[in-house]
Amino acid sequence: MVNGEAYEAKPLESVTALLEEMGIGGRPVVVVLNGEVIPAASWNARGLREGDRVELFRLVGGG
Amino acid sequence: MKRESGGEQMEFQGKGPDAWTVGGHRFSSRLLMGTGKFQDTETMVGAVLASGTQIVTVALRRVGRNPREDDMLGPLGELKGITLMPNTSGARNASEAIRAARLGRELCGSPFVKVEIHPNPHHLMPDPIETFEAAKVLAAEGFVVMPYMPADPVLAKRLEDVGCASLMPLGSAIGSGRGLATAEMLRLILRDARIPVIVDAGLRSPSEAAAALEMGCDAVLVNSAVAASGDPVAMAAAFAQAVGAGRNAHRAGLMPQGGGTALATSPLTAFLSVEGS
Amino acid sequence: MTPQPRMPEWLDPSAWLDGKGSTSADVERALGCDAPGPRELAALLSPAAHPFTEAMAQRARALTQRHFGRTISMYAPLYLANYCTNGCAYCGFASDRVQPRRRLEPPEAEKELAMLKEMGFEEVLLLTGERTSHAGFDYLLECVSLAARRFHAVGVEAFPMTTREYALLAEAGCSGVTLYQETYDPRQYDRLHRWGPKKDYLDRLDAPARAMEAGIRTVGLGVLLGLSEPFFDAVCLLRHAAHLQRNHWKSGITLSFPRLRPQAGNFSATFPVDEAGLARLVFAARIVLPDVPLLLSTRERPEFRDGMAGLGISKMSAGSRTSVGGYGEAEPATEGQFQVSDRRGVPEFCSMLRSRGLEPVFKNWDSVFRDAGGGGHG
Repeated sequence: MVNGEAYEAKPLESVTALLEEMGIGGRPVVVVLNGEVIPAASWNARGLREGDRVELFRLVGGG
Repeated sequence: MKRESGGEQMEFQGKGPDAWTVGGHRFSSRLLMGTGKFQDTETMVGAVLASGTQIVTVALRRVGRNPREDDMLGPLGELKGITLMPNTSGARNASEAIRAARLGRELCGSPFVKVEIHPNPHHLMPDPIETFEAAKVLAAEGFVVMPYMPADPVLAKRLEDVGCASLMPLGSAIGSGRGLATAEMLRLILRDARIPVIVDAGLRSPSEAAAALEMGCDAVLVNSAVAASGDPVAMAAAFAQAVGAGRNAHRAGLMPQGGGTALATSPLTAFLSVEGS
Repeated sequence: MTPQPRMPEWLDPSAWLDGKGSTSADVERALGCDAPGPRELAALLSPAAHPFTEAMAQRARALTQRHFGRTISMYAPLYLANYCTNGCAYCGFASDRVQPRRRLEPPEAEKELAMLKEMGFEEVLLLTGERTSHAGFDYLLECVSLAARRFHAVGVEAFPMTTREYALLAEAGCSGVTLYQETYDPRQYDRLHRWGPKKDYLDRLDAPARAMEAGIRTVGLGVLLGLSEPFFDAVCLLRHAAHLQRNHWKSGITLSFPRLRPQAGNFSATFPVDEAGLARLVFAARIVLPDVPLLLSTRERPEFRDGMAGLGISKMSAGSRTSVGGYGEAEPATEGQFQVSDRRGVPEFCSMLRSRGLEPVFKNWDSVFRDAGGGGHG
């Protein structure tokens, strides 16, 4: 699950890989995996499994 | 006279430098900018530059399925001397705001957070109780908490007590352009405040920003007034000049208002005797 | 020579002392100012303000009416004891003054309190000298409890206490603490307080804040006019008030301007303040602090009190005795702390107020709503 929507994916090695596949790679986002904020430094090391809930946030304009 | 220079605040002729401090950080610009409602990123960045601002608010949203939307952080992050301040707009209660603040800190790397909780999507008035609860938790976690709040003098002291770094009372409802409708409340807040007071929301014109500074506010935040103006980049520059003028005027001391007291026919002080003891 | 304590930064009036040289224009500016502060106070206290006395009175009256209505709050002082170990040069209770010393035993205090209730009072101010073995904290606490059973507001004017002690007083029903710094000038303070615990300038200065921290609802500040340069002391008093209001927003303050008058021992004022000077000080305080109650005691003569009621002054005592107890006796057993100039009884005083369009108010707060302890009687 990514941002509340089911996401079909090949088993992924890491958060980094997911971001690459989604076309985000390199752009600033916050990754929340199963309710836990994953610091950018850990993206490479963190693997993903079936049933994981991922949320991604970015900055937009706001007052 | 450098009329064309956008964003430059006029040097005060009299007394020395006029920086202000919030959360332990020093700033020279007293104009904060919001980044919402602009037609495109390029205009937004242009306005930010023209304003000379050093604190810019941003919001958090989920990355969409097709993340081709504009990336805010990139262009802004490249500007020198800008502190990004995530707001918690979208949160309807304290726990949502706290969560948003933590995400924002992760993304921006800045401890600044504007706590903004407006459960009603129409008038967008801030919830005093949720804001207080969120501020308490976030201040304890080391955030530089800047709460967007109703212009209430008692709430102001309560937020001070729990460790907020500043107060951000509204001038009038977000986007309403009704200016300093809360002026009398702002005066009460200013009288007893021990932390900076930044008027946020409802300003429409540079003269209103100047008035806020003249009154003694430490800074103002504008967003709609710039983004929805005819020429946002020029308007941002105009706001910068107004904020500078208002601040200079405040330091110079406005002349007294007219309308002296008419003396009564029988003087009140006739009873005072000349005798010494 | 004892080393002089340094005035804390929040108190230091140095930045405004040149205000003594204010011009008429400065005074007008001050009178027209929306949010007057120390600079405006300085102008209103400067020699240039003398011709503006009437204008200041007008303004003071308008502000008093706006914030207090056409009312005068009434209270009564009750001296519980005149034991004292201090050597204050100006006070009738100083330890080197020979006079009968006594304290009210609880049954006597009860009698005095009953008399004050008879007279119509609902607010009493309990006074003692410095903390002594005869009349110390425990004694004061007991008297507060007694008074809180009968009166809706009980204040104390005694000696600096610890936060813990103030908290105990608050729990027992004490709603106000009065503690005058007497003078904020450290050098004069040291000179005039010749011996005793009161010599500690900083401890006394900090006590009102401790009281507020402990939950005491109102703190009364004041200076004894005549001890030091009145301009200096007035600016400091304002600074003290502003500091407390900023840091203890849930508590209130009141200001008082006792003026040195002849008393036992005949200490004469080094910097005498005449009636017009006192009046201007009251007006200036009202203008700069529009919502702070200002007190005037029975030290001043009747005509002056009549004139000042409602002209800045919002709270007054009447029928006062300044000897220990005194309300139940025809002839006081001890000498008074100061000489009472306005000896009018309560009915006569209230009648005067009414004739001037002012209503005496004896009760402003209902103890039934009070939190812990206090024993409200409904």
